Amino acid sequence: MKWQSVAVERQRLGRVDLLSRGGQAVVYRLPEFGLPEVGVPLVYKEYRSIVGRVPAQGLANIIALRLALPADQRLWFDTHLAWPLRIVVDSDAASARAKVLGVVMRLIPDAFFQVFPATAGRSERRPSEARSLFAGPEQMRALGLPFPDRAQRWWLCLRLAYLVAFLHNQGIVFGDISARNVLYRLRPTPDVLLVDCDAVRKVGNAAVVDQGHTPDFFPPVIHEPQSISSDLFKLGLFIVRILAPGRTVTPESATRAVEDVLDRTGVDLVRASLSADPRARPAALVWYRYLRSGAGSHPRTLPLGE
Amino acid sequence: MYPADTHPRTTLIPFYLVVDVSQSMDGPRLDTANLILQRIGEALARDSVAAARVRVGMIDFAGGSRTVLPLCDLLTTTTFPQLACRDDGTRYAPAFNLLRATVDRDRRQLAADGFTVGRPGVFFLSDGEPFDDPPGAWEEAFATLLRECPTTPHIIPCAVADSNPEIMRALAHPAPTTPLFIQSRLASPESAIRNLTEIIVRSVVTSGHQEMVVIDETDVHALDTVIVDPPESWIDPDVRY
Repeated sequence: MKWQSVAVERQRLGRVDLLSRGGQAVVYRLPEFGLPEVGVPLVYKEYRSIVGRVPAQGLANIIALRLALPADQRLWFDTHLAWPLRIVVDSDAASARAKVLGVVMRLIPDAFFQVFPATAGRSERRPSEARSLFAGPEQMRALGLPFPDRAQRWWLCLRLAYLVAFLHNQGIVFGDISARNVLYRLRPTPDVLLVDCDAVRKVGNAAVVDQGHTPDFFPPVIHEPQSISSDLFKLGLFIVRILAPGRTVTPESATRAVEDVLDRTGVDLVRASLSADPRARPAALVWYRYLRSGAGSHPRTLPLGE
Repeated sequence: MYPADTHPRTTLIPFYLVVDVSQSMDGPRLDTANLILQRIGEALARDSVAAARVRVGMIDFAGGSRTVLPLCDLLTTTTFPQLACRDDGTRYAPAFNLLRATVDRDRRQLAADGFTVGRPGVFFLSDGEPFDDPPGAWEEAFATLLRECPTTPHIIPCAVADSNPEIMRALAHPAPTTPLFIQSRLASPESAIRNLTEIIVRSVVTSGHQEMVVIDETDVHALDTVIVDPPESWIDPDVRY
């Protein structure tokens, strides 16, 4: 697919309202711009110059990955991944010299935000990043946030395992599965959302936007490139930190941390996920099946057996 | 008569309320359900953008199924019809059959009027188990609805009182993204229907703005939300389409 077919000129976006600033990008709300097949509000993520030149065709390939999905999968996909929908360029989109400024993505739904009562008396509305899940009950209470119970945590792990398995089944390496890129919600049902999806890559292709490893989520060999296996390492670590919150968990201490939380099978899965040998790490599908078998009824539902 | 071809075709989102009027609904449950159309109308009267893009209709069912309100612009409807109970059992098959015929006929009529018709939204409210006869009848009618509707509607099941959660869950369509609302353990059927009314009103208005069915789940207090899990086939490399 030619990248021009999924590119839009900056001036066509209409009004932009600043939402947030990050180290790599600035995000704006787009109240006037819509896309025909996407029925939700959109944002414009503008790359800072530190990101360097981003190749348009590479981004177009990521956009194409979503468009290639069957309609029913894409409906589900759109509610679980903030994926690039269009490339934003500075001038004539048809010109080969148009410069990539950023991407258009969907706005993160309200349910994935939390209101943090701030110390200055004003409360702050921020995305519910997964690092909140790693904190213990006292810490959460101090932050004024609800502490998810075991059943909710289990379901969050299950949803994350499914999401990673879905990407891997499409041959997509997420890359930076970190505490900041995974958002969660508890209401109405526990679920996760992956953001910053423009740094993904298709197996066999180079990354378009640099895939960095977030500190504290490095696989054993620091220079292990981002791959399906490094995704699986991070998934294992994530699951441990969600199910055993409030402790400092390192790859070395992870198995110990879950010994009183998971059964023998689960502990073995953790050990294998965090192995220094990338080939030893179990597939996300394996994690999904294990978590599914232990999930019981949905925590927010009337148990169907009653 | 027809909108000028130079104007972009307006997209309309049809909404159908399919409501159980079997004997058990008699009383506060039906009284609460009878306020739904009015509440939607009030919200649309305050929001001309949404009002221009949605149409609402209502179907009831007990032993058989009837059209209570043909699909229309609620702002041009002077009086809202009232649902009334019937004491002839509870069957889902007639409701699905009527819904299928109605969705298709309405779509063709609106298209002939020059509108682009979006995928409809259906809120299906029941307070008890179906006793279709012969057994398997509702399952077949439901499968036919999904198979033969050129634009299959989003079906949002709403289960209160003694409805069967397993059956209601099976009606959510498309399954992995459409919620099922079930009355919360400590809530009454009336408060569940009231909460449902709020959800329906907000969803209809939001859908009008976004030109597609959007379910607004922001305030779910007398109901639990169930999302059907996406299928394992989507993540299994051994499954090929």
